[in-house]
Amino acid sequence: MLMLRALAYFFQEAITSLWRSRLVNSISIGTIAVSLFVLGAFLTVAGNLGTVVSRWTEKIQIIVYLEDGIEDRVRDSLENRLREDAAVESIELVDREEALARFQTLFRDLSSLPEDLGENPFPASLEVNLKPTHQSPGEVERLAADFTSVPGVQEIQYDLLWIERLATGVRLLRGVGAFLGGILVLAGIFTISNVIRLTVYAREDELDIMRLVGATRAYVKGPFVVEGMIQGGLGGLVAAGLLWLALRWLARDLASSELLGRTAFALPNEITVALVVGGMVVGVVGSLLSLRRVRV
Amino acid sequence: MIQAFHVYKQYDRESMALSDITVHVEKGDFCFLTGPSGAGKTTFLKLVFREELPSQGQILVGGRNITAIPDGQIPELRRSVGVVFQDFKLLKRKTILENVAFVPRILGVPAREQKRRAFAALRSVGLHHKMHAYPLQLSGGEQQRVAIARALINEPMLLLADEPTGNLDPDMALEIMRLFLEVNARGTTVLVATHDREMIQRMGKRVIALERGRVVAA
Ligand SMILES: Nc1ncnc2c1ncn2[C@@H]1O[C@H](COP(=O)(O)OP(=O)(O)OP(=O)(O)O)[C@@H](O)[C@H]1O
Ligand SMILES: [Mg+2]
Repeated sequence: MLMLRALAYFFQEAITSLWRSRLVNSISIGTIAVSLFVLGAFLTVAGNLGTVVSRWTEKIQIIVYLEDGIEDRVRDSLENRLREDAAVESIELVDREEALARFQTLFRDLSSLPEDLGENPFPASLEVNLKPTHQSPGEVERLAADFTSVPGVQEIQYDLLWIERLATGVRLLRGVGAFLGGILVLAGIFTISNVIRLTVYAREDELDIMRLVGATRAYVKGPFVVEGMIQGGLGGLVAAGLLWLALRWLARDLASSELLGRTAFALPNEITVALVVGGMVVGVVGSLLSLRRVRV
Repeated sequence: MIQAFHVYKQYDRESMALSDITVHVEKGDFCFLTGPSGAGKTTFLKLVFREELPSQGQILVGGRNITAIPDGQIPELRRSVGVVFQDFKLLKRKTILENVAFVPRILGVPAREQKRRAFAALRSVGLHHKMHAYPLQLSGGEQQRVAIARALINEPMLLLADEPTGNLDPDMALEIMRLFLEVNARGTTVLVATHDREMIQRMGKRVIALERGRVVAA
């Protein structure tokens, strides 16, 4: 009950004070909002790209093209060896006719190509799917190396390089985001701490009086800490709002891209919560910093 | 109630604000602290409610050595001591009712009860009709009476008043002294710093006289 009354008092005082110097306080809320917006933007983009990359990675396939006119016995033994490999989940045989059919459905304009050539140019192949636990670039390369010289194999194809690059890109983006965001968050703490410091200076007499009539240090500091927390929280809320708008705007332009898909531009709830809570923490830390020297 | 042993206070190198002060004020006493300007009256009061620490010596208040208590216990000490400051120390941004109610407020008293007590305290100094005014809208004497109301609201065990009648006309000054006597009769120890000789004589109470930081009569 005492606690609740103290909290109610902190909030009343904080809100009165925020309103009294609303201009300066809007500036500090704005600074926090910008910092958190940048941080949130990086987190969202990195998060969304990460999802896309992992969706693509799930489809990692190795295609083993078979020699022309391969004997069934050789093919069976190749299939068996593949199945026995620890990394392999499943294999599917695509014979020459099916390869041609697939080509013709994918590229309608060129469907007359085989007739023009006078023969079916597509080789038969085995499509190898990897177990989820083995879907690393290293594993793919190992498998390819193991099987290139096995009888019946004409060529092994895998297109990992660009996926790998993308994954590196996402990691880099995350790193840059964390670094930049870290700096901006420090800037936010610095801003709030300075704005609160100004308020503390302006109200030094008041703080003195409170101490002298027996208010505890926590009671004297409480309203300022709550003030910082509200500033930071509002900053986080504004940042989340801006981010939501930005993503909507992006989504309108890019939603048509099948590659990325609609979900790639959603604002995850976790990020909204993280921004608001993060803002509050920034505010509390900032105000505690500026209150270090308040004596008993 | 107050026991000071060989207390020294030095603010800066050149001068000594208090030297070798040894005085005792019994529980339930009513006592004046007098001396010319700069004698160290305010300094002594500041030591008693631990706004300042003595440079040397010990002070016991209510049996507790306040020169040795941890910072965390200072608020508790101050809550049991009512102080009328020489410069009033009122919160300019709050009404006088809020100023007086602030003391029960930090103790966690419910809002309605805070107001009731603050109103009663203001009435005892004859200012209840101005409770919604801000300190700067009041005369010096009125502000002083608000400070007195705030000091008395918790019925403290010890009342320290620094020139509490300095801005009051003789009638009002007498009225305030009568109030202090009443509080004293209910058990509060009272220590009043003043250079109003006439008042001291009229009251006929014990006098501690300071001069240039030393006790010259107790
Ligand atoms: N914060 C301070 N810093 C430095 N010196 C101080 C401080 N406070 C008081 N002094 C010095 O200590 C001495 C005693 O001051 P104090 O205020 O105790 O006198 P006083 O008896 O209350 O005087 P008055 O009757 O004018 O209020 C003075 O010489 C004053 O200059
Ligand atoms: Mg003085």
